[in-house]
Amino acid sequence: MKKIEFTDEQRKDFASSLIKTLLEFFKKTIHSEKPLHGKKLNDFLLSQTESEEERETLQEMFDENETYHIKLNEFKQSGRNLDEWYEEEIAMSVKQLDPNATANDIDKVKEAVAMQADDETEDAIRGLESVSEIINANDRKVAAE
Amino acid sequence: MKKNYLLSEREGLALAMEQLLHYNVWSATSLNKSDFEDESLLKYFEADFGSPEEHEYENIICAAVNRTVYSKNYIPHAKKKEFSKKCQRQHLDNLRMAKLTYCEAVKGMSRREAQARLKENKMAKRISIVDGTIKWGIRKGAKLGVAAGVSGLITALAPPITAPAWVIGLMTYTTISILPDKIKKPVRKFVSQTVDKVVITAKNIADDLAKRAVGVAQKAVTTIEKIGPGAKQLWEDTKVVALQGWQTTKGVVKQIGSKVKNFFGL
Repeated sequence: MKKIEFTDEQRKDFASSLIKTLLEFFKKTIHSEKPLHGKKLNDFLLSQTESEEERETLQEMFDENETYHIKLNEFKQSGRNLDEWYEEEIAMSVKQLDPNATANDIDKVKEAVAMQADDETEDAIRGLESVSEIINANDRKVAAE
Repeated sequence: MKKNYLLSEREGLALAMEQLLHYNVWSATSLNKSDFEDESLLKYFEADFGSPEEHEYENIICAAVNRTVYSKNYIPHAKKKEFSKKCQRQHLDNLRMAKLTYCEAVKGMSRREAQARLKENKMAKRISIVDGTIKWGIRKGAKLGVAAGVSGLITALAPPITAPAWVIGLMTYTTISILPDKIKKPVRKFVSQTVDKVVITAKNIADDLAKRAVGVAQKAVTTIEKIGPGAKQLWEDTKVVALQGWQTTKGVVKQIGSKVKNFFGL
């Protein structure tokens, strides 16, 4: 993904907008007089979107988050080895896409995911640089004030 | 030969690096004063792992991130969908990791359990992304009247697994901004006591990785010698690659270790 350039002001604006939106959503959902839960909560949050694409993006993340919790719970209940569980889950997902998928196809998908995981090392390192950059910029600003 | 997709040395190193990043953020003294005095998020940190309450907080956070991304005209419209998803995932990663550190600091969770949960989170995240990408591929394929194949899946998987560094930086900044002091204070104290141990752990992992890289190169020489003419050059090249890998790894750890240590004035 090509880098989107943010100025210090935009970064600050992004964080403060997120805080405001989060507070507003808390107030209108789980902290309201009639708290919203489950499907009603998700429906309300989806209703706050302002375009079809925005709604679709959020729905996809809700689905992904739901899968995350279901899978993690299934793993916890199963008492299985993490490595085996992970490999079998990926194999099942690929079979869902293509019932005729071969063992080789499944290995290719696992390798693609593993390669991405390897990149996490570099990402974490670069992330550290990036955070340091933000913190240093903030320090300079605080010192100047 | 069965490949291990889960616990390679590089992934171990990645986890250690992520923790360093996470700890570095926690120690950001200039961000001590929270702009976010609301303590709602304490409930998320106190909620049982895997509880419906935890899930609901995460969905609200996703919705707030998504709304913020889509409301900003300084973010190019064509990039909003991908950017929003990366930000949402990164924000959840940050919060889940922060919650584990909070549990270590306040609730006496063992380091062993925190590490195990961190790995489980990582695997579940990957599975959920693969699953989501498959569903997306099937929907798009159905619309276009074509079947989505495995090669299509691999192509579609390439971008979403990790966030680029600048997204990690931006989202970490926003994550730290939304946490109330009741969460930050105990965690910061805990982090200042353990950061040195983390630096040592990261260094040990890197050393282990380096030793293995050299070991692999040494095994390769036996095979290469059997191949005959030209093998010598190949061996020399292999040694250079192994050495570069070793030095890079050591250099990176040293650089990060010293940064974190300097940060804490150690």
